[in-house]
Amino acid sequence: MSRNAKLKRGVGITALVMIAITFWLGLYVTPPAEVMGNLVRMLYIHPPMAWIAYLAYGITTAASLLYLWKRTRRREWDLIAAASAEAGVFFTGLTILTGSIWGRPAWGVWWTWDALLTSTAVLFLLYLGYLALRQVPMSETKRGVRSAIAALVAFIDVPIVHESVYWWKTLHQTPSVLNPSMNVEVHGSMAWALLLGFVAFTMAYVWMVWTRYETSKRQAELADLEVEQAIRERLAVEEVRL
Amino acid sequence: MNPYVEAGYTAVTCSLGGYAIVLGVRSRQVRLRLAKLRASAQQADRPLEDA
Amino acid sequence: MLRTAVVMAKKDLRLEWRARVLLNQVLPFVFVVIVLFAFGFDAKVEILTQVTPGLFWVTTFFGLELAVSRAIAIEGENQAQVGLVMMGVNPRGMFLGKVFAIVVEVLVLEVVLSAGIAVLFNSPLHEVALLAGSAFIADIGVATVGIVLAGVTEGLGGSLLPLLLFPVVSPVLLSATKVWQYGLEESPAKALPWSELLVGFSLIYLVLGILVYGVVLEG
Repeated sequence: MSRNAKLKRGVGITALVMIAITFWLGLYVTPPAEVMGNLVRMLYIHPPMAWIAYLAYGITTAASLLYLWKRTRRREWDLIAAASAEAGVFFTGLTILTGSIWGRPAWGVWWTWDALLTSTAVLFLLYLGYLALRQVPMSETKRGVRSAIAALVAFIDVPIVHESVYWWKTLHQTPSVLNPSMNVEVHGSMAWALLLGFVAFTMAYVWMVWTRYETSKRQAELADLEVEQAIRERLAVEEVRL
Repeated sequence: MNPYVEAGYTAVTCSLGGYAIVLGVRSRQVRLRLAKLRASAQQADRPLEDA
Repeated sequence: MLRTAVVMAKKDLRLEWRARVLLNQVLPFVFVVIVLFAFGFDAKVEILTQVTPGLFWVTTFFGLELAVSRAIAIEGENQAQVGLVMMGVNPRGMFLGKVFAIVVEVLVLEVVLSAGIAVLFNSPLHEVALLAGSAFIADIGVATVGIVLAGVTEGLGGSLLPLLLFPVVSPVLLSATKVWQYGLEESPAKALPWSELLVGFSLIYLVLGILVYGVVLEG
């Protein structure tokens, strides 16, 4: 197995092991919180999901920029952007799901138009739009350029969405029961579990993007080779005729 | 254990695990197809060289 | 760049005037929407006056989307813009021109819409300067993002533009609605942070659009 493949496998196994340990810490080793009780255990999975959602978007945008800039334009950047966006959709969806699951017992509702949930929902929609755009059949360069611009437009939007939604929920509004803070005192084993959670899921994300990228790259090579083969077969037919 | 916590952890495991498995399977499929195509491309080149 | 913009804007507006799509289709559509909302909310005046800002802006946003996709559609299947760029016309000017034309068209829409709402829902318009100013800035914001995204989704299917556009401009919807709410409530001071957001948004995307439009036309 090539060195690259070995490295990737290493990342994957590390991710798996770390996630397992995080789960073990999160579910058994760490103590329940004072007010929230066992519900605090969501702390070890929900924030990491959110962190990766944003990381993925950052990577997609960075790769898109590299693709857009003529001097560094390579098919690889476009494929990385797409792979990262795909993983990003998963993590964003999970952020919303785990957030909702955490919110139901804490706030009594499955959904509320709170600042963070709403911002994440918009982020999810932005990702979906990007992926929908990529699905439409078009030439490789066209797809690369157009998706890259869409990613850029969306990325710049993210902080604006955050600000506006945050103001929406805090300006001229008295804090209500429906906006309890999720502030938890984190110490000792909880801090370790949380930290490990972040690292573990980041590794998982890296493995996923790497794998997805490799598959896309091979698919592109396959397409190229298939075209070559078709040409070769056509030429062979021509030769026989001659 | 809180049923919501169980639900949350299960959801994360199933979705990420499922995605990882799908990714891995797909990756293997494409890798094998590529290897096959490359091999047949090499074979096709050889007779031309003899001629 | 500015001269190109003016020429482009004039051309777009002249095309619109000849085809009268805005006048014949979009404006009546706006009235249809007003009536629909009246039916939907059971013509309860108290509710309607409360939701006036949201109603106005949601309708305007649909109008904006229509205007934007039309602005790109009139370039035709072969995207005459690309031809113009190859002849040396400045794409930035073209971008600005298109934005300007859209803003003008939508302003007409908004004037009629707000008059319609004021009369039909018995919702008097206060702080008109604030309402008009914020509408102008919000239109610019959405038009700039719209043109870039319309270029990106050009030829790829009609529902792709709204899917991409609306999430991106959701802060504009939020802010504009807030400004109108405070304007109509006659407490304009509260509208200040939201107005700032509108200006910020429009500036950011105006600059981005100018920088990026050349690349969009390439793609």
